[in-house]
Amino acid sequence: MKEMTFELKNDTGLHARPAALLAKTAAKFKGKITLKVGSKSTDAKSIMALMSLGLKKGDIFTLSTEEDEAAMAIEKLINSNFNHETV
Amino acid sequence: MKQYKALGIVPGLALSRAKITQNNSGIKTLEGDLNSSLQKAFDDLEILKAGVNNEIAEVFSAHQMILFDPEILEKTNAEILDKKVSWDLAYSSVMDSYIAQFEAFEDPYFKERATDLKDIKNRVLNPNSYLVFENPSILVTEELTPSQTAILNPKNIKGIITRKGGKTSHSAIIASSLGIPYVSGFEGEIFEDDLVFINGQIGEILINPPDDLKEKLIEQIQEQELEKLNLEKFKNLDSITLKGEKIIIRANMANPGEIQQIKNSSAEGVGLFRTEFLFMESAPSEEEQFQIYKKVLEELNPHPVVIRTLDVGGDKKIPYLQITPEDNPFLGNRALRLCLREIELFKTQLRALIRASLFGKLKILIPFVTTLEEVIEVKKILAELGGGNYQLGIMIEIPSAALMADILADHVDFFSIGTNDLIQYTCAVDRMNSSVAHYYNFFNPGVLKLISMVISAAKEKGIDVEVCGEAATNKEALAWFLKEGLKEISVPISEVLKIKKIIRDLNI
Repeated sequence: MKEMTFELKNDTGLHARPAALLAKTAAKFKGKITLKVGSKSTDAKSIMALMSLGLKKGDIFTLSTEEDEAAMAIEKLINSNFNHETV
Repeated sequence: MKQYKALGIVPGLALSRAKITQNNSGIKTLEGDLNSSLQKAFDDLEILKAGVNNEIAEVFSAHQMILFDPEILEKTNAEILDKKVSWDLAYSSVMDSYIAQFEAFEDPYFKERATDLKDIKNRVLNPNSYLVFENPSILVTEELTPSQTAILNPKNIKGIITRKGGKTSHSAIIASSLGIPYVSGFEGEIFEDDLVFINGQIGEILINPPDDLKEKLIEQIQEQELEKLNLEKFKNLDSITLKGEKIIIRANMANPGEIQQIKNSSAEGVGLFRTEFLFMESAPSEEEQFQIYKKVLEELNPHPVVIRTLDVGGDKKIPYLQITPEDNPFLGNRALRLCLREIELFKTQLRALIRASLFGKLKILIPFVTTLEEVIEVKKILAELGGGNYQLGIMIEIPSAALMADILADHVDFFSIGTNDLIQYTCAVDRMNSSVAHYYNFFNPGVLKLISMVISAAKEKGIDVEVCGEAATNKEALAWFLKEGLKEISVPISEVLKIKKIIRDLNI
């Protein structure tokens, strides 16, 4: 199990487009990928679950996955601040 | 007759019968199952996507993703099993709980997404409820969902009135791209088949006007149509004076939904893109801004696009920026002064612009420059942010900048003369104070002398100079500018053809 903690850098938070990009990236992998904020834990493959968190700039969240490749892809996406070009 | 003042969103006049639609029609048990209904909605969206521009298509793609969202599917299936209800009731209740959740968000961006969810729910549960208009009508509704707006046909929909929805909603952008007159924020009473007149420029709504007024309104609309028709033929004509001088007419733009209108107007690019629109509700991220600037530049290439950096303060306020109340806001922290204080906000915009500069012909315009030091500071910031492919220009709207034009010209690629503020600051006259309105005069010799200096300085130093204030749309002022040797102007989209007609009659 690989766990990674991030701080959200997007000015407007995890809104529709970044949530869609994250869900799309996560959905490319078979295993379960979860996103945790505080005590809440959600399915990172669901755009609705991600958007419902209403994450704002500066919020801290943790992603966990079994797959190294998934971890790398997600890390790249988040560190690029949800660039269009990375997907 | 009842008369209301609401918020004008898309300019234009319309007089027609009201057609009132409800967004939430009652739910009845549908044939089919969850999966086939979702698939049908998905396919409908795919068809819709083919007929709209990229921006709207992106909204529909997000809708498609939400249709097959794993969490929604899981919850709906659980509801069907646990509560032993039909799939449509289960789906409806799951969507309603998400809608309630999003409506409860404080952040306006997340709140607005509830509209998208209502739209998706309705599309799945009432696939045939989408608006069909057999006769010319004015659509009256609570709020427009993005997919409703996109399939509106201007042929039978003469105007739109909604109770909710602001200038920055998806619907406003789409209605504006279709050119349907649109008034929002309506709070009065209206009934099906009422005769309604709307003026989308000023947000006026008249319900059941008496016959004599009705005739006048019809005349106004006919005049509007006739003028449009007469101007159409100027689209394919060059913008040249009787003496053969070529004058470049560009359009002013406030939101990306206007790109199509600009292309249709025969304007040679955008002479002033006011970016304030993007900043009204929350500060857009670099990526969001980049996507918008890139799109505008790509769409209008090879014509240039002059993008003005954030110009707020004075009479233009934005809620999330803590601007200390000032006794004289027009002489206070506005535009560039504010940007240099809110430096991260400014840098984010400049970074987005630099990135977008690779996708077209970008001219960055800095408003409200007072001193040479400011220009040097902006150039330093730009240099730190990295290289791009753009020109840098400044607004000449403060007398100190106009007087220093020959020096400033050595440091920038172009000038844009903002006549509104330049008159106000040169004549020391408050534009909002009607008791001194007679001092506000473009033809004040002091103002003319200043502008003349600016144009000569630009010509001497070989840099471009354009005018983007209201004076450019005044026939006499325009003639004066052309005599002074001005070759580029920027005017509201609706004025482009009118101005071209005037230019073709000038013997200059």
